[in-house]
Amino acid sequence: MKTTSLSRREALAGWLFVSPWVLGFVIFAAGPILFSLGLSFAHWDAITRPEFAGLDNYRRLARDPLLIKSLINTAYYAVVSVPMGLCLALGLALLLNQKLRAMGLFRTLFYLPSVTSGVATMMLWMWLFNPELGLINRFLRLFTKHPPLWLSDVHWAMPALILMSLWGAGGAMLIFLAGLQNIPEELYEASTLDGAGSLQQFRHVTIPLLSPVIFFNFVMAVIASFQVFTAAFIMTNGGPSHATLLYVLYLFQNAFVYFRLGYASAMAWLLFVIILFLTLLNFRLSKRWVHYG
Amino acid sequence: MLVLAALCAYGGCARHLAQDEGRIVIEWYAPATPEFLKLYREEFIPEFERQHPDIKIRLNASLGDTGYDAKLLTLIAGDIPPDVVHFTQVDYPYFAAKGLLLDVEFLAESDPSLSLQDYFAPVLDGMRVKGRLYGLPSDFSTIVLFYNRDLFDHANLAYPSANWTWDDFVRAARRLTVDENGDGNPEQFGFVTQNSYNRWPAWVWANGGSILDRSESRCLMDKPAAVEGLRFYTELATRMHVAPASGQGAGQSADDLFASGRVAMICNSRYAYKSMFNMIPFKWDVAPPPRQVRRATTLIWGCNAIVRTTRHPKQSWEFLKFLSGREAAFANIKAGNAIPAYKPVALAPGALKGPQTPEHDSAFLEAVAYARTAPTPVQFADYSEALTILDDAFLGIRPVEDVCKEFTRTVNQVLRERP
Amino acid sequence: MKTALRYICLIALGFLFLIPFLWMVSTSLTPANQVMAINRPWIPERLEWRNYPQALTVLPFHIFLKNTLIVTSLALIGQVVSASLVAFGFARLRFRGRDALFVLVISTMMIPAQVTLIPTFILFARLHWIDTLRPLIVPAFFGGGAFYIFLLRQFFLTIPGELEDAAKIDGCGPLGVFRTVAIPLAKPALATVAVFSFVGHWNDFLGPLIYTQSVETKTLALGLNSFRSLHGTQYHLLMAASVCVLLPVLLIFFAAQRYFVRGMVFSGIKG
Repeated sequence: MKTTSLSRREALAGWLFVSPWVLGFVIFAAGPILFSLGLSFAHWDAITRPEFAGLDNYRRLARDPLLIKSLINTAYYAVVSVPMGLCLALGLALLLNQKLRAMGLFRTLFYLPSVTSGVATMMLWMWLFNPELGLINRFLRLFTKHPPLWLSDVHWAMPALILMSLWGAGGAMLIFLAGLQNIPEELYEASTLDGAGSLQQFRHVTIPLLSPVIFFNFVMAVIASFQVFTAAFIMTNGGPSHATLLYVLYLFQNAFVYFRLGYASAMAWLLFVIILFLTLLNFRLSKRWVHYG
Repeated sequence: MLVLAALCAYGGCARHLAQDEGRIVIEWYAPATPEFLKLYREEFIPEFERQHPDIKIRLNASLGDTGYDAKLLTLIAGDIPPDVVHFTQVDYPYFAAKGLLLDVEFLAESDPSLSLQDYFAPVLDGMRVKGRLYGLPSDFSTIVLFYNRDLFDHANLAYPSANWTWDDFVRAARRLTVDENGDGNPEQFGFVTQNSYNRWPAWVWANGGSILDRSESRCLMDKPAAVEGLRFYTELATRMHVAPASGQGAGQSADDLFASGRVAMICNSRYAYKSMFNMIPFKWDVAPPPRQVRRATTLIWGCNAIVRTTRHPKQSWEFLKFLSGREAAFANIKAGNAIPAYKPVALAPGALKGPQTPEHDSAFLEAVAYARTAPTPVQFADYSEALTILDDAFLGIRPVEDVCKEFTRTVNQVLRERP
Repeated sequence: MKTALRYICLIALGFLFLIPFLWMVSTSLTPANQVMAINRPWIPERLEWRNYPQALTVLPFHIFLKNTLIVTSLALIGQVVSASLVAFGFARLRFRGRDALFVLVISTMMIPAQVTLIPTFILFARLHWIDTLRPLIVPAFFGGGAFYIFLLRQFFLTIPGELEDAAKIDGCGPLGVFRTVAIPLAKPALATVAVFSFVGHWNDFLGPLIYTQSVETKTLALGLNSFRSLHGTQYHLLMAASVCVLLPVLLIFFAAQRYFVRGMVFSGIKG
């Protein structure tokens, strides 16, 4: 008897705690989400009345070569940028997680790119990548006669965007740092007493205890990489020759440049299913390597 | 919750403040750089409100032009469209063809205070959708050849003349392409090509080709004259190497290359003056674009239009006339906004002249005689998607014929499927 | 030795990270007609300090600053408070449907904002919230967004059960555990959320772009964007204004440092 009333009280408390989100979801999110789901079965240009389209938009998904192209581009971006970004962020966090002088300064330094406004960042990087005038090629010309054309080259445009994304590793770094701060010193001391080297410590103390945070950063990075938009939107607009046509950019173009809002909605739901699948897979796999306290 | 209530009260006041008692409020949606925001807020709107005490203009300015159309679309979908909207030749045709805009042809004909004869005909032609006019042009520019005088002097070359043909142009461009250290990677180029939809058509036209037929129902880009025109233009970069291969990239880099003195010539509009006056440390001038079998160039413009559902068409029309009228034309010139579409001001002797305007500035007005708006079929949205096919020609990764064929096929399909 | 190596790595990487920023500062101090010069020097021959007053006066930046401060500070309070409450509920309390609900929370992140833009706008238009700052602030008070909920949940999950039990034995209810155990222990994570929220709203572009209309409601990020247009970008002004917009955030971040380092002290829990 006692336990059920206890667990009932806990359940009530639980619902109360999460109620702000539930309310917010019902008020602000549910309507627009359902609207876009409905829209995916319609033709709509936002100006004239929507027309029911049945499965037209979804059928179109299957035979749109640019959609396939944008999916491949996005997968390419995700597969390269996510591991590289996470390794860099973790490496920086490990380097910074010391009680040494000037760490605050370095922490600020590595986080600086994430604080810089989007427009300025994009303009700055377009300039750095400028094949004729940019700093990067000014430097590379010391070694090679023909440095890449970066954003103007079909093969180099995507690596350029990925390189730029690494510059923004500060966000994930900060989360790793917060996680590292959470690991009790005692555990390191104990393992040192047991004679563990720093590599072993990293494997047997840091990684397991940091795993919930690694997991978080990984899941978020995967989700974010499938939705990356601004860089391609401002810097390349998908070009050259669709080399940087990322999925959400193509979705945006369909919605707001080609005025096919129904099709854009269908695209969004396809993306939703893809990301959901990947995320659930992540959660499933996480049981094998993520350890909670 | 208290905080919430407080901020609702705080954040809520802006729109209501703008409701002026007794005056009719016209909402104007327009893009604005800092200078134009100042111009609108401090000159256009106060002056118009002084002339029309019963009307209040509420400016909905999009700072910069990123997301301009996306935001317009949300305003329409949210059922709070503006009354008057600023468009350019890029987005106007779509919204006009969709029936969003008020047909002002009648208004213009029945209003004795305005004569369409006062506006440059090629601009009006570019604005007509199925023969009807859905806005009034405010400013425009032809595209002409900008050249770096210092580099011409340095190479001991005569400046581009009005009679330049493509051959003269290429000859000069070759001389101006300099590879000092001989590494096959020139430090200086004669020209820079741009893959923009309103640049390359000039070269197709100049070669005697057409992009669409007169009724805009068929694409003619697979015809030899058109293919050769596009081939010449793209090969400046891909085969002749008198233009950097990189010029094709993101929009601004071509302008920046010219400003840096790294390329000697560029095709550009008078809208570029403003940033050039600031940015360019060398002597430069403008000339008509080179000709082949005929003279041709493109035209870009800005206009204002009335949204059909407005509750105040009369007041909106007054504002539209003001924006395209005499005072606005002078203000436009002062702010450095290309050329007023209002002829009496634009053609007045010396009206366009400023302290920094280059010697042959008249090239812009002379080009009006043969300038046209790049094709903007009523299916512009889908047409603009087809344009990305041409990237391959600019990159030189597929034969121009093949690219033109695919482009023609795709555009024809668009024109057929969405009449 | 190890410390020296660490510093060398940090300085080398730090330098790489700093280059774009240095170029930004350099551009902001270059005279307009030298900005595009080939092989432009890092330090201009003549430092053009005038770019700064010019960049800050061509636009009504005081209005933008005021709006940005209102939005960032209120949204920050909303996000930190409501996200930590919701995250605690998901991490430390058991109730039916919790896991399914959490999947729903995460799912909201998977729908690209571009596609809910129009319906959300319609919603705010119906509420007469367009051209006010409310669409940018109020939603922050309702859970603060899936990212922050998920982040804090992960941190709350790492709190050892023993601490929670100890608090319960002391007679704490869920709210008591939340206040006396979870919040103090999650300070680095809360600080992270606060920083992300602040920076996110400070630089947010899409929200203000769509929801604000008159100049009186615009924010700094929109102001910066106006230096860029189809007919040319005023780099020197854009970069000068960007430095000004960036500096306050950087200073706040630097000052908030200690909250990231302090961490928590687990004494005498285990063994």
